[in-house]
Amino acid sequence: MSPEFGTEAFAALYREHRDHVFRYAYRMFGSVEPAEDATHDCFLSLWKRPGRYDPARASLRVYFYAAVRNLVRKRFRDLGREVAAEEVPAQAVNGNDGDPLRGLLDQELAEAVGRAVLALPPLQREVVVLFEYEELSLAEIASIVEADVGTVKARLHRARQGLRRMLTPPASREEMEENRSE
Amino acid sequence: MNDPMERLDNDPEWKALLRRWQVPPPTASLERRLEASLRLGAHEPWWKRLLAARLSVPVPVAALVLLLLLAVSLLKVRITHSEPLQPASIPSANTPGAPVVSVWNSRQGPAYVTHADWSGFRPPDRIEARIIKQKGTTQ
Repeated sequence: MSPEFGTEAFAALYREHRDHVFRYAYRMFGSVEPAEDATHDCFLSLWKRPGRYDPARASLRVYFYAAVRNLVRKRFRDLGREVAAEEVPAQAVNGNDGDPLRGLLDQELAEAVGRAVLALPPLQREVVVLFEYEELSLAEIASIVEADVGTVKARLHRARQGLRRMLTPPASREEMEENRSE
Repeated sequence: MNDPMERLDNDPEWKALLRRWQVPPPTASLERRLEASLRLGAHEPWWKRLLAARLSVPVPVAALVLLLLLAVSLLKVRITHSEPLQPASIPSANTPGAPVVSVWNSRQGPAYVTHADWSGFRPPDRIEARIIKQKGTTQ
């Protein structure tokens, strides 16, 4: 695609990539408002300076992830700390067949997953979000986070260890450890 | 399959667990805000863009530029205050054998004679005095 965008082309591009950008930002911030700000700024910056996107270097999807990542990092830097996950949210997965108890458990579990991901250090969190949720390849992630594939793998490994620790109840963890040692 | 990374890659339960955390859709206000910003951006005059422009410079480069500017301005101030006199040599008059006189030409005060080269000076054989009337006087 040409880096010059007409209004129609830009609208189509927005519709195609908005969800990726917003999802990433939301999972990094843990709340809607800063995620929408980052999404807005991400598209606006491409509109103002279309030359920033070089089709020879990466796909537009990868470009957007890299752009929104920079905005997220900038916001973290500006705040000087992690953005509090005010909404930690999460919508429970539907499909509890109208069972309110099951629905509650699902919601609790969803919130626990959200809290666990948000509790990861940003460098590990971004890799988890891009790999587990956005299903990008390690090479694509490496180009987005400006690191080599080995580093991305290591961060992903540490992030998964952290998530497993946070999401596994202590009793089950002991059981797992015992099974492993046998 | 012994690599825990690979094990998780192929573990549907792990994937399903993570996917329980879903993202709400963005609000309609996002699209409205972006549309408004695009309209505004399209009609923004160049000087406004220039005023809002940002220049990202690495801190060491910025510090170096700042130091250089500081050094240059300090040097300029020192030169202005400590060296107000500029040496200048007055070329000899048309008369051959006239003395060559060096003066310090001050910007703030009168010039001072600092050196005179009298070599080859011959006093004139005859002096002709001429009185020139100043403009506006009667005598």
